[in-house]
Amino acid sequence: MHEGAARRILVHIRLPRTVAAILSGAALACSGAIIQGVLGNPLAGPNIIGVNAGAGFMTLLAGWLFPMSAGLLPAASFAGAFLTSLVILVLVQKTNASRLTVVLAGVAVSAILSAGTDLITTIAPEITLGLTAFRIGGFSGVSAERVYGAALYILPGLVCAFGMAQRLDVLCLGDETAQSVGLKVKSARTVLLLLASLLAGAAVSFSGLVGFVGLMSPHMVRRIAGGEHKRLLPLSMLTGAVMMLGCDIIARTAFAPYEVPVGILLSLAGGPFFLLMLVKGGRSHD
Amino acid sequence: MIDLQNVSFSYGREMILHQVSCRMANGEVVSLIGPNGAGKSTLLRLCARILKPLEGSVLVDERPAGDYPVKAFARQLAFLPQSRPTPAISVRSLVTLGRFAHGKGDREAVEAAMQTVGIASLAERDMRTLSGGQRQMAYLAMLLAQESPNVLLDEPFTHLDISAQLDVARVIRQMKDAGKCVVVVMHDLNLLEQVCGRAVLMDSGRIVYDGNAADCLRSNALQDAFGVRILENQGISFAKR
Repeated sequence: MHEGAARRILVHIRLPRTVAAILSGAALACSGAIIQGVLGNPLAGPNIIGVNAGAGFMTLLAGWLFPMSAGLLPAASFAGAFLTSLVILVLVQKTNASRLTVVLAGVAVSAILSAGTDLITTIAPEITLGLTAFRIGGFSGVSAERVYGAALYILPGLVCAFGMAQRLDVLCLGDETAQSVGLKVKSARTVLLLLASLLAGAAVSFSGLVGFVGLMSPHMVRRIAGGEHKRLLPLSMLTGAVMMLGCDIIARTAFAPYEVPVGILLSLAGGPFFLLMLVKGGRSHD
Repeated sequence: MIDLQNVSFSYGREMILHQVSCRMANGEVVSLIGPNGAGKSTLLRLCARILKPLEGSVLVDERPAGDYPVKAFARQLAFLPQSRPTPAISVRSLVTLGRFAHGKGDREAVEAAMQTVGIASLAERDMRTLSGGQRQMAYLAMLLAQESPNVLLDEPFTHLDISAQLDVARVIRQMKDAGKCVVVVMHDLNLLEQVCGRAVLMDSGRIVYDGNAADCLRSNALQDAFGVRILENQGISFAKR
């Protein structure tokens, strides 16, 4: 292969794709760790409680309403993620919902958002191009422009999350104890949820609806390194990034010359993982 | 020092507290006792600013509780609710969170709190692996690390065996000796005299007795509030071996 062509492939295709997988994995894992801490629910994760679906719906809506404004997509994605988080948070605070109720509410919210997505694609079939890939999630068509644009949201978001590690620890003590040791519980929870939505929304804007990284990574790390967030957050980011990059490499090479969307691999691994957690959670409640 | 002045509170239309007044001083352990639904925990949560009074005022060290910024209030008053999740962190990390309002971990205060409570050997243990009594002691160490002159404990003896109960009673006495104002909601009247000198008996949202704990156990007010009869000379007391 010509050296110039090889270089162009490396710089314009391979490198953005690698960066996309790393950023998306780290952002979704960090978002999952934050959401689990804020809701006090280890079953929560951006895809489980509908945050990814909210981000996806708003991304499509923005793509339909403002087709020429690609730069708007991360912001739209963030708005969708945040509004969905807010719905779940209000539900938890108003009804003192159990862990399973939060999960079931996520299913309901995801179903509503999915119906909204279907409605858009019915009204505007011209934007369905690439919709299937977006829904499954993957990095095959990812552009450098979108990845580096989203990085402007993700990198500061990851740094801010690390700075709020101790607040997350305090929140895990329960609202009354957290307030007693000096935390403004409601504002801390809102800021952290904004941060988790920013991270999940920015990741979804270029990777599509990849699932389960945000659920699995914090869980695996918590088992090995404990739940203290100054360790949990960076190690979850690392685990998420490695998991996403590894899955993307497998997705590209395992069935070559065909490529499997990375979202399929993650769902194949994450689905059983989530079922196992539900069974374990059910047993511990018994 | 905590001063409740004509405090009333309601959940919707249901009045929970009626014009309650009570002053609790530094160097004193006051137990709040009474039947279920008497308003004890509500009173404690009003003192801790978890709830806001419908009428009246709560003063902490001569200043309205609501006037303190959040962290400044935490430096004045520490509250341990009855139920709370068990975080997946080490005992030392938990105790360090007691320093949150001070803006820094302050290792010496954390180590001293663990030493005082007697859990220094458990410092690196994950909270989830501890017994109920050990967890309670870890939370008490967190409260000590907070270094607040006023401490509120909501049923700290519940679900603990007798040995752990006596450990908690020892820590409460240590807080009193350190000059703190300690208010304890408790149900186990057998521990009353061991824990505190003063008892405040509540019934239907009102204080019906406020005075010496030993006398309270033999008072008509206690019998009326609980609807029980005291059997003389059949009290039970325990001592740690």
